[in-house]
Amino acid sequence: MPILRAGPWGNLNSPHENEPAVKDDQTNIYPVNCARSDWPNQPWRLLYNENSDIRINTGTAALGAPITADGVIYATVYLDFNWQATQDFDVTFQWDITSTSSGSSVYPTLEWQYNTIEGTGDYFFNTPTDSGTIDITLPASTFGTFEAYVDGIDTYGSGVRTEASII
Amino acid sequence: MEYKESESSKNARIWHDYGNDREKWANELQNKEDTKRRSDSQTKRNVKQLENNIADAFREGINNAQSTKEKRKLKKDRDNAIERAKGQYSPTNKNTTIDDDGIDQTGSNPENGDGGSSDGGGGGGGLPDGYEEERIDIVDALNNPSYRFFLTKFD
Repeated sequence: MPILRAGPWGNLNSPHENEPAVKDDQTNIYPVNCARSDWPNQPWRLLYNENSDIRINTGTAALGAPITADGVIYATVYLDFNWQATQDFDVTFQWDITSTSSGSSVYPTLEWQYNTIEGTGDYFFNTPTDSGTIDITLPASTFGTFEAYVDGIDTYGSGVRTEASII
Repeated sequence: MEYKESESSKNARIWHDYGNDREKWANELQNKEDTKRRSDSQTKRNVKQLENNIADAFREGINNAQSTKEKRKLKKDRDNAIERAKGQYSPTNKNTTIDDDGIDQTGSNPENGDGGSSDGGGGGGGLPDGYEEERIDIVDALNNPSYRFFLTKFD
């Protein structure tokens, strides 16, 4: 059965928000996507935050687009989006953390969670390998919200890069 | 004493009555023609208005269509809808034929949606009073973005 479109931006408490002029997760509103597809007048996108000890940058990115945060000591990538779907669907969370100095550890941490307006949700936390992918099944929902982050710390403080994407 | 009408007087009276009747018949005929002409003009205006409404309803969808195929389909749907609407006003359609007495037999105005086709099955019966047709995006049953036309009304 079809469901009415929400958005174009929003959150669980307010699913019908206009697209903000400034794309920043501090506003707590995120793009609303149709499963893995583009809306006719709005491409699939997420709101990202590249956060490190030397820089913070926010913006939107397409499905599959890599987001990269560069830091000296730490670098974190946050990815947020909302979705609507009449069927469960899969997304893949991909990450890759590297240090500029050889032999340095980057101590990755990774977390994702989702919640739906129907009250369902899931949460995952791990200290994974330096790079990898995780398949995540998001449920059918009239409105769901997804957030993830992956973080790397360079023990030598010589430079770390964290890259992540939703595919 | 009983009055007896003369033959010449009788003939004069008959001609006089006939003249009055003829004038009356001519007036009635003129009234019928005027009524029919007004009805025909109203029908033409209604058809034109309905065509415009249908074209307006489809315009945004056609403009927003993502592919030539989708545009072509929407244009075909629009043209079909206009043809159906015209059919509702056709003189061969009993529901809208103007009777000799100049009265629309359906007693309804399809444009106002106050009658005509009661099944609402897209027969060109017009919109219910106060409602507007709007294209609204949806997620279809297979997770695809799509749209439907909804009737909406302000409180």
